[in-house]
Amino acid sequence: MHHHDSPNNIHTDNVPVVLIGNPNVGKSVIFGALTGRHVIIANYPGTTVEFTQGTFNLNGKSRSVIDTPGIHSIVPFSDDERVTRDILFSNKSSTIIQVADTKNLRRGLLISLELAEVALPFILTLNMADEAKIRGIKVDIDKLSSILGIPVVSTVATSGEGIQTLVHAMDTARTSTYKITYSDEIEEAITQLETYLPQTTLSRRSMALMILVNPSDLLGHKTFKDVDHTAIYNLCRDTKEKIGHPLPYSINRQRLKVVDDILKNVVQHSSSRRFFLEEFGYWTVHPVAGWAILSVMLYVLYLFVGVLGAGTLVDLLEVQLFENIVNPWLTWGVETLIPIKFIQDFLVGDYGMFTMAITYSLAIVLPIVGTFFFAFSILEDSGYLPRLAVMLNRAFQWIGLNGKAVLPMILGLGCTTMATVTTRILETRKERLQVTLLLALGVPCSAQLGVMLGMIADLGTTATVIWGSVVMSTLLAVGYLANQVIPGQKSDFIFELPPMRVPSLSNILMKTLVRLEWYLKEVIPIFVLGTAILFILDKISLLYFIEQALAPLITGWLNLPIEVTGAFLIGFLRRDYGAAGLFALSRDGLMSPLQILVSLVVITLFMPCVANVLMIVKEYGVKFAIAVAAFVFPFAIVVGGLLNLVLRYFNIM
Amino acid sequence: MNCPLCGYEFKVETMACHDGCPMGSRCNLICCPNCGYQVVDESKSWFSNFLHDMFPFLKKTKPPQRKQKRDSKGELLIPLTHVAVGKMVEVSDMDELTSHRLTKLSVFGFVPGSQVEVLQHRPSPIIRIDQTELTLSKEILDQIWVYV
Repeated sequence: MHHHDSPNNIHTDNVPVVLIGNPNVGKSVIFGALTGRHVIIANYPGTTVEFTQGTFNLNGKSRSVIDTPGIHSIVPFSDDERVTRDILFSNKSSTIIQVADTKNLRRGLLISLELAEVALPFILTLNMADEAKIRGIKVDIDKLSSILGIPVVSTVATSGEGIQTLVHAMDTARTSTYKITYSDEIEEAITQLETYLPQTTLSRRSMALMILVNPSDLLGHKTFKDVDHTAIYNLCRDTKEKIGHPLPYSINRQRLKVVDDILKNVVQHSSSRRFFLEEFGYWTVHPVAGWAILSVMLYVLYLFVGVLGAGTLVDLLEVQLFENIVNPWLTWGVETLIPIKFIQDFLVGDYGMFTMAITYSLAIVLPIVGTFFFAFSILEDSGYLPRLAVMLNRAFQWIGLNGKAVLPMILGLGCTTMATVTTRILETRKERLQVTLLLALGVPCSAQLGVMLGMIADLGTTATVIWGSVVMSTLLAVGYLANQVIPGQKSDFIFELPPMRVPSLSNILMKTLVRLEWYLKEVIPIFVLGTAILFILDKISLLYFIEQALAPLITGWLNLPIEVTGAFLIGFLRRDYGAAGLFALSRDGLMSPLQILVSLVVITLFMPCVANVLMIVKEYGVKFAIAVAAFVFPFAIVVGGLLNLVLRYFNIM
Repeated sequence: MNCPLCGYEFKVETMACHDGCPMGSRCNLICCPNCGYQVVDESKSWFSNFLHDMFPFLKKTKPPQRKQKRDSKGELLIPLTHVAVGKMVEVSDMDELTSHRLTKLSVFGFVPGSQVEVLQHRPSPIIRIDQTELTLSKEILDQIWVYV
């Protein structure tokens, strides 16, 4: 699934162009504009965040270009930032395009100054010139270019404006002539450090500064195996004591002073108009209006995915197309062509490849995940999701996490397995384990959520509220307990909010299609496998024995029809497949509303799918994965049974 | 303060019940040590703070005991938590922050001398520095001192 490529051995026939810049400045859009989306995706070893490589045409010659994850500084403080630094180290005399947000030039220049110190040739691209204009920010590009001694280009990547200029400027990339002089203590430390350091592609001065900022990181790199670590650490400690402040902070502070001086010369502010989206962004995090917007958003999501996707579209596809036309025809065809009963059953029987695996995946889950992916892409591109972190920070603090953990949890609604990977954005191991557990326990993935929304749509409001509150309170309670049990500490809540933007339709459609492609490629084989297992279990009558063995649990404790056993069994492979099984049962009228509700709660809290378990093993080891499984599975059954008892006792539903 | 019932004068800070009692950290009542009469401590009430933030006109008087200090030149400083929404202020002193937090904030261009604007305090504080919007915990905001 993952390619472990290091930038040394990726296929390159020339010196690559590397795109570098802060997060959210449009690097990937520029990458797309340059390459026309001919993208090879590679996973960087040991990190979640991948760098992307492609090629573009420069004066008739093909040239490769690398898109890197956003950074705040060349000196990494987290795994994803390390990717960029390592690329700088490994590509000899590469050309760097620094992409900066024109309206946020202050932070962009902080990186420019570092690149100047590194002494690699680069170009500065001031992107999002249109947004800066709206905000009344005008940058004197020629002046900035002459101050830094490098080419500076202004672009609006989304509309392609300035991309040609950027391509033409590519060959004129130069090393910057700008040099900062730091305070005496730091300059002294730099001079001493330089004597310890080996020759690399980066300047000694920049490496010395990187070491002062984060010694353990750079010295951990293989290039510095042989240098005198003790002497360097002592030097850093002494310098820090002399200055009395943490070094990264004082170095950044001195750089910012320089940046502010440059900005005074090149940036002009005029009156800006506050436009609608900015205003709307504030309302989404308003203590009262924010909740209203969240509820409206959830309701629209429900209408779109639950009613349109799981209702109308599934009806059209499953009932009208598959049950009435496709499956009868297939059954007829198979029965006339293949006279062997066993193969007939395998293809079109109760647990048949066409009648179960293909019908479930194409007619039930596909329209639901399709609508969900579409809606989710809109939310993702609009910048709304990070604002949820603001709204939910308090609730998350109560369970020992902070708002930052909202992101993996929400992404879990897309795919729990991928969300387990993104727990890496959390800073402490404790937080990562906690979120991984909660994801595995009670965050349904898009396919599962969609199927369940479809079932809930038939049940009515009371059931929806009960289901929602049972799942929510379970997550809160388990989160609270996990916070007490899992050792470790919590991290600081400092988190950048990207601006709200109108998502572009083409981008959303592209994302939706790519995700659907992933779904078809990865999920259908699992559905086929699950169906095959059920088919075999059924043929050798093992399914009957399993049903009998589990009967006390399923029909006794949970009070569900025995047919549910099959759905739960394939739920071990994928929860959405299990949910699709329940969906089919409830459509056939085999379950009462109360039974549907109980089965929904159980399948929501059920075991995470196989892929997720494997991902947990990969990220956090077998022991933790077993612990999660050993907790989640019985817990789901217990909660479902208790819900059944309570609802029956109070005669609700 | 003076007890409104018996008039007994006492200092709230010296009362042990808020530190000694396991419920103390959430307790928003002040009991007179003389007669036991309970006075409501509005500044500690989540609900009252919430209402006041939502509807600023409800505020009759400024809440008592606001944090403030003076810098070496004698200028008055207050923590960012006390800055009104929409006001642009200059950061003076961030020394109370841990080095990890200092570093993290400095890469966003957040250092002494920076101009920052508080966009909201609830549900989580959001501050703007230049064109960057950051959300951070109240606890951190409380350790950042700005010029009034």
